[in-house]
Parts: sequence; structure tokens; C-alpha cells
Amino acid sequence: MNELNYLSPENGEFYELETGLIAYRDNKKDYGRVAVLRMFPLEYKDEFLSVRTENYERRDKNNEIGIIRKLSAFNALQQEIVLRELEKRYFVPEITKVESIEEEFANSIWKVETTAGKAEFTVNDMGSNLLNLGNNKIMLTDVFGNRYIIPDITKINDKAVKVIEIWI
Amino acid sequence: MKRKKSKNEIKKEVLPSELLLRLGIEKEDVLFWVKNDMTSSSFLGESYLIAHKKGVYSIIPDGDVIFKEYSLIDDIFAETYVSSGSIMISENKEAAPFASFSLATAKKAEEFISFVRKTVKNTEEMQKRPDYVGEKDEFINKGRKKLFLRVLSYVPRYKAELFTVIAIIILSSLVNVVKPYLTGRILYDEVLTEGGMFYGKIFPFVLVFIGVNALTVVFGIVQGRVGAGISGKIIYDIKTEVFESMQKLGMSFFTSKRTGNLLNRINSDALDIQYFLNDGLPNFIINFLTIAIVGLVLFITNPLLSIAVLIPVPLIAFIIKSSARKFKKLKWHTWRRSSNMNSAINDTLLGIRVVKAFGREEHETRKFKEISNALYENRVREGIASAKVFPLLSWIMTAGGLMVWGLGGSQVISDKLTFGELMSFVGYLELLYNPVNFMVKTFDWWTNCMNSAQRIFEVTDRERDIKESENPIEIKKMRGEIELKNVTFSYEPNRNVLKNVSLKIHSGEMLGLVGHSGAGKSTITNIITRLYDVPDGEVLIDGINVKKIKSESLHSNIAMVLQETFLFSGTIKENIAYGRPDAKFEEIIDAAKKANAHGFITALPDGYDTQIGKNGIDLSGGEKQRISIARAILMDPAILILDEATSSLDTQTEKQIQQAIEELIKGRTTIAIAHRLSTLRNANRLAVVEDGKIVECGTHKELMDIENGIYKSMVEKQIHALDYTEVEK
Repeated sequence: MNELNYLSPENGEFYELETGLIAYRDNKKDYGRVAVLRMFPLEYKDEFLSVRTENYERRDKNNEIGIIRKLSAFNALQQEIVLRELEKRYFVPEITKVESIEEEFANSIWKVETTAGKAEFTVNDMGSNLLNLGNNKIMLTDVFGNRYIIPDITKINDKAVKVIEIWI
Repeated sequence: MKRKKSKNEIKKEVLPSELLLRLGIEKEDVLFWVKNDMTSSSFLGESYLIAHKKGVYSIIPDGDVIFKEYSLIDDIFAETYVSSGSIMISENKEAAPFASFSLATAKKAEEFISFVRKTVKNTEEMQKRPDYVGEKDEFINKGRKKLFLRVLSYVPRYKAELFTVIAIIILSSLVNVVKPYLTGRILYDEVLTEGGMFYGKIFPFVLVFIGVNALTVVFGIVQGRVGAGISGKIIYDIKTEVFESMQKLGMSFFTSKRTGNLLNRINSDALDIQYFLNDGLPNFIINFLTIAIVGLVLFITNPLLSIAVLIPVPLIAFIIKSSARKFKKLKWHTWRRSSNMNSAINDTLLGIRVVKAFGREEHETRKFKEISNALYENRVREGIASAKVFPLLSWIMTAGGLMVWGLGGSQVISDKLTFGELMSFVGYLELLYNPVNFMVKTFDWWTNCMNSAQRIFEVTDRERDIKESENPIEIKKMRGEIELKNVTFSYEPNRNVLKNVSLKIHSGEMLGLVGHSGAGKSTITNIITRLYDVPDGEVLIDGINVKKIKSESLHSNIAMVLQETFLFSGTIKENIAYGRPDAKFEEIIDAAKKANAHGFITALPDGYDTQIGKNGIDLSGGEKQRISIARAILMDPAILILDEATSSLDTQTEKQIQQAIEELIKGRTTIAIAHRLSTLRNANRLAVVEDGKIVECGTHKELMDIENGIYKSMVEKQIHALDYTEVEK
């Protein structure tokens, strides 16, 4: 078993490529573009991050450079670079306002305002595509696999709450 | 992010001319374009991807424009994230983000990428595509009415039965209306009152009444029987249709996320429709007719009293309707909680070994208690709610009845009404209130039924992704020559599992496929057997594209032996003859002998007639594997695919099976996938698959000669591992 290799500001740094993509180098090597993945996306936003070489999707290679235990250990600039990468990869709009939910049999058509702009999407079979993450947090998955988060169900309009209440 | 409410028409979208103006390009020079749905990696909004004849644009109306010239593009590809993705373009070996898209546009983005790739590859050969035609949303969303009519469309197949049911329904509504008239008007005014038409003839009246009641019962029985027949047949039709359509769907349907869901539902969905057609619909008609007829009769005989009868009706309907939502919610909660409980029980029992091994019995019990308690609480809530509503309803009905009594009574006293007529009215009262209650309930049934119908039609309407070509070529006996030409394939958009793979396997050759798991070995066999179609490149057997070969020819000429053997419930004999049900006994036995299975099969108490999975007969992994090899031998296929056929077995068993396999591969084109390289020692050639590409191909010796070769390092690792096994012995 390999031991966990923790990355720390002492042994390496994140920097930005000209293309705006994130890269990593340590005192031994410059890895070029890297991917940063959350190991516990639901629990930790900026802890337990896996840093991998570019072709991270290949399952047959161990391409993990190391693990960031806590992002806060890095300086502000590096934190920003990593967070930007994470935000891109884990882009999930948060619903701030529900304009309407139209129920049509097993489908419901949502018109919402999100942190990423207005959106309209269809959720098929709420029983399996509405996930209660606890603490009044709800995750919806639409027919294409896009996710939407309702950060606090008690803070959105009553009407919408009524519709989804039975699924929670 | 525009996800329009799907309509059944295909919507034609047009590239906005302002954009062309802004870019200063002509419409004619636009080769391909798609409407995109993100403006940056973190914002949703309209944007466009345009393939112009010089290069590609990503443009946001009132926003940024990115342009890349074809001659500078090395590669274009997509990265997919949790809910979105990026189109990346690399110039001088460095990739940069070009545009972001949400998963709703993933398919379109892939089309765009593959178009640009082709254009880059050959800029002269410019394929002109007309305006992009927005694709049909695969999620059918028909109007309720249409859906309802479609459910009903199953009914007319049984005209005679249907006619009977309708006739019976009308008759029973009539009898229902007659009854209060008999027990009121006739009984009191004509039988019990002096001077009545049937004065004193109590017994004959009772007999007539018994007769009328008997009629109701008879009607009920006939309706139930005929109705059950029809709805049973309809359900049979629907289920068969669903099953048939599912069998014809490609593998991708079964591996898609929503499948498990759909499959589990087929049964309960069909049941919902059955309830509706069997109980809901006929009773709805009966009640509707009853209300109409009773209303009419009442108004004709006594308008004033009718109004008194009708006053509580809207009130009752209102209460039922408004409490219905609450009940529905409670029922849902109960349903969900009880299904939670079931799955908790199921989990624990299936995983009982793990539970015990980790000493988690108490934890599991506690978890179960929590779930069980939640269910209990909900049941109590349900009880409390119904304890509120139903007494209220019955009070209103009683009050309505008393009103009729009061109003009618005063009319009787002032001789405007006979006592019998009053009694009939009171009888009608019940005839009215019950149907109202029922009608409200029917609405729920209807919704359930429509939901179920929607899900079912979603399966039956799904287009087949693997289609038989129009004039399929039949090949009785294949030579077994396989060729892959520049095949690129992905299960999900943008995640290529095979990347431009070309491979030729000669007739009668045995080719071993090696490589790490996930490299794409099984995918190669999946596309040869046409479980999936390839979008790019060609798969040829005997020089013919598999898409053109009759699927029957394909199946009768290719046999697979997989790691997970699957034996169907049935006898061993039937399982061996699965691919050739007409095989003779001798052939079956011969196949079993060749597969090294004959010995253990005959030793079983029931021999070849042994029912699998019954009477405590449980075959070992190796035995099952040998049966599936016999199945393949019996097929006598031209092409044989062994996908990790022996990897789940111990070395001793593997040796026995190896003999069986050697027998099997004689004279056939064989593709064998194995981790244990020793299994492939008979292979004529070996191909190393890595990351969706064939990186090394040749004989064992050739591959061993490659300096730092992947195959060589794999062999060395396994030899090293073997040293340990030797020591253990």
C-alpha cells in the first residue's frame, strides 16, 4: 500500500498557466496542468483534495500526485487558483428562487433562478432524483444528469416547498 | 439553460443573424453550429458554437468571442465535470478551454467536436450541413388526454366483452335508481297504505325486492368477471409489449441510470393501470350515470326537495378534495417509509454475514427501530387525520338527511308529498352522496394510472438504438474474419473508451487481448457482437459491416463465454441448448463431454434434467462455467469470445476448464481476454490495449522483444508472482 502523500506549501506550489488552467510543481518536478478532485464533495469543499496529473480519467494509472489535507494551508493566491478549478469541476447551480414547478405525471418542470442565472429544467421521477442531503439541503438531478442544489429548503417559497415536501 | 417543455414536434432553430453580422461572416460560410447553454464555467446562458470555413467561434450574444483557426488546432476534445463540461482546444500541444456546456448540451457539444475534428483532419473535404435541427427530446410528454386515449386504445381489441360490460353498467345504474323508489314510494304508498295499488301484498313485495337485489348481485358478478377478463388481457398486452420492446433495445438502455427504476416499475405500473381499468373506470361510469339519472328523477318529481338534497353535495366535494392532498401526502410518507423499512430488512438479511462479522447487530437493530418508529408515527398521523375528516363528512350527510326529513316532513303534513315519496328521497340521498365521494377518489386513481402509463409508454416508444438494416445480409456460416477500422467509441458522450482502433483478426486465429481493467478490452468484444453500434469507424466480419449483417446470423455465429456465468432457471439440458433449442440429446451430451462437464452432470441425481437453483442443487463456479462452455460448443460458432472466462476459478479448476476451452477453440476465430497471461499461451497473436488504443500487437516472442514493452513488463510481473505460488506449494 502506498502511503498518503500530503502536499504542503513547503514542498510545492500551484500556479496558473497562460491558458488559465491550473498547474503544479514541486521541488523535484513540474507536473504541468493538473486536475484537482474533491474526495468528499458533499462534506468537504476545501479539504481532502486529490491532485492528479492531467490524464486523471485513466483508471489504469496511479496518477495522483498527492493530497491536499486542508487548502487553507496554502497562500491566498494558490487557494484562489485551486478554488477556481474546483468551482469549474463541481459547478452546480444553487437555486435561490423557484418561479414555478409544473407537475406533469412523473415529470416536473422547474423554472428557477440560480446563482448561475435563470434556468429551466425537467426532473423525472422525483422519488429517485430528489436527494435529501440533510440540514434542509436538497439536491435535484434533471433528465440530463445536471445537478441543482437547494441550499436551504426553508428559505425558498412555500409553494415550491409544498410540491416537494412529500418527497423529502 | 434552456430545456423546453418537450413537445412532439421537432423544433427548427435558426442561427441569429446579428451574430453573423457581429462576426462579419456570411451565412453560407457557416458549416455547422450549435446553440450552447453556458456563458462561462460558472454561469448559465445562451451562447453559440460556430464552425466557420476558416475556424471555430464560441460567441456569447452581448459578450465575448473566441476564435480558433483550423490550421492551428492540434486537437479538440471535451472534459466532463459533475454538472457541466468544457470543450478544450489544444494548440502547440497545449490545451485551453474554448467553451463550457451543461450536460443538457453534452450531446450537441460532442457532435460539434466530431465535426470540427473531421474538418481539421481534412479541411478541403468540407461537408456542408444545413441549419442545425434541434433534436427531439427523448422524454415523451404527451398530453393527458392523448395518454388516456392511448390507454383506452387497448380496450377495443375486446369488443364483445366491452359491449357486455357497458350494457351491464347501464343496467346496474338503472337498478340502483329503481331501488329507493321501491323501498319508498311503492312500499309506503302502494303496499302499506290503504287504497294503494298493492295494498297488503307485503310478501310479494319482499320477493320482488329480493329479486331486484339478486339482479344487482348478478350484474355485479357478470361485470366483475367480464371486466377482470378484459383488464387482465389488457395488462397482459401491455406487459408483453413492454417486455418485447425491452428485449429489442440495445445494451445502452439496460446500462443507463434510469433502467433499474423502470424495470422494477413495469409490474407495479401495469397493476395501476389494471386497477383503473378494472375498478376505476366502470365504477366511474356507473356513478356518473347514477348521479345523472337520480338528479333528473328528483327534479322531475319534486324540485324544492331536490335542492335540499343537493345543498350538501358541493360541501362534501369540497371537504374531500381539500383533505385529499393531505391524505395523499400522508399516504406517500407511509409508502416511502414502509419501502425504507423493507429495504432496511433486505439489506441486513442479505448482508447478514458482514453484519455479524463486524459485530454490528445492535447498530442494525437500532437503525431498524428508528425506521420502524418513523413508519409507526406516520400511521398514527394518518389515523388522526382520517378520524377528523370522516366523522365530519358523516355529520354533513346526516344533517343533509335531516334537512330532507324536515322539509319533506312538512310537505307530507301539508299533503304535498306522500310518506313513500319522502322515503324514496331519503334513499336517493345516499345514492347521491356515495358517488360524490367515489368520484373524488377516482381522480387519484386516474392520476396514478396516467403516471404509470407514461412510464410504460416511455419504454415502448423508445427508439431502438441497434436497428436491423433494411436489407440485412444473411450469412449462414461465417469464415470468422474480423476487422476493426479506425473505430472510436464511447458509452457516454465525450468519454471515448476506444480511440481510433484498427485491428485485423484472421479466420481461425486466436487473438489474446491483454491490458489493465478499464482499458477497453471488453468494449472491443461488445462492438464486434454489436451490443453497441460504433459512431465512428467500421466493424467488419468477413468483409461486411456488422450493421448490415442480419442480427440472427450474427448471433448464431458468435458465442461468448463470460466471467460471470449466467444460468437461467430451468434444467441443465435447457441451459446447454439455450442458443440452439432444437439440439438433439446426443449433441448436448457431446458438447458437455467436450466441455469437461459430462462427468459431474451425470453424477447429479437428476443428471441433465437437474433443475438449476432448485432442490438444494448448487453448482460451483467451475461447474457453471463448464456448462456455459458446453453452451458455446453446442452453438458451433465461427467466432468465439472468451471474456475472462477462467479468471474467477482456482488454478486446479482452471486447468480442467482450459482443456475444455482448447477443445472449444479448435477451428474458430477466438478472441480471448485474460488477466492471467498463462491462459493465453495458445494465442497466435496478442494485442495490448491501453487507454482505448492498441499499443502493442504481435506474437508472444515479438512482444517480449520490445524493449520496455508493456506486455514484457506484465509477463515479468506475473512470473514474479508465480515464484511465490511455487514457494507456497
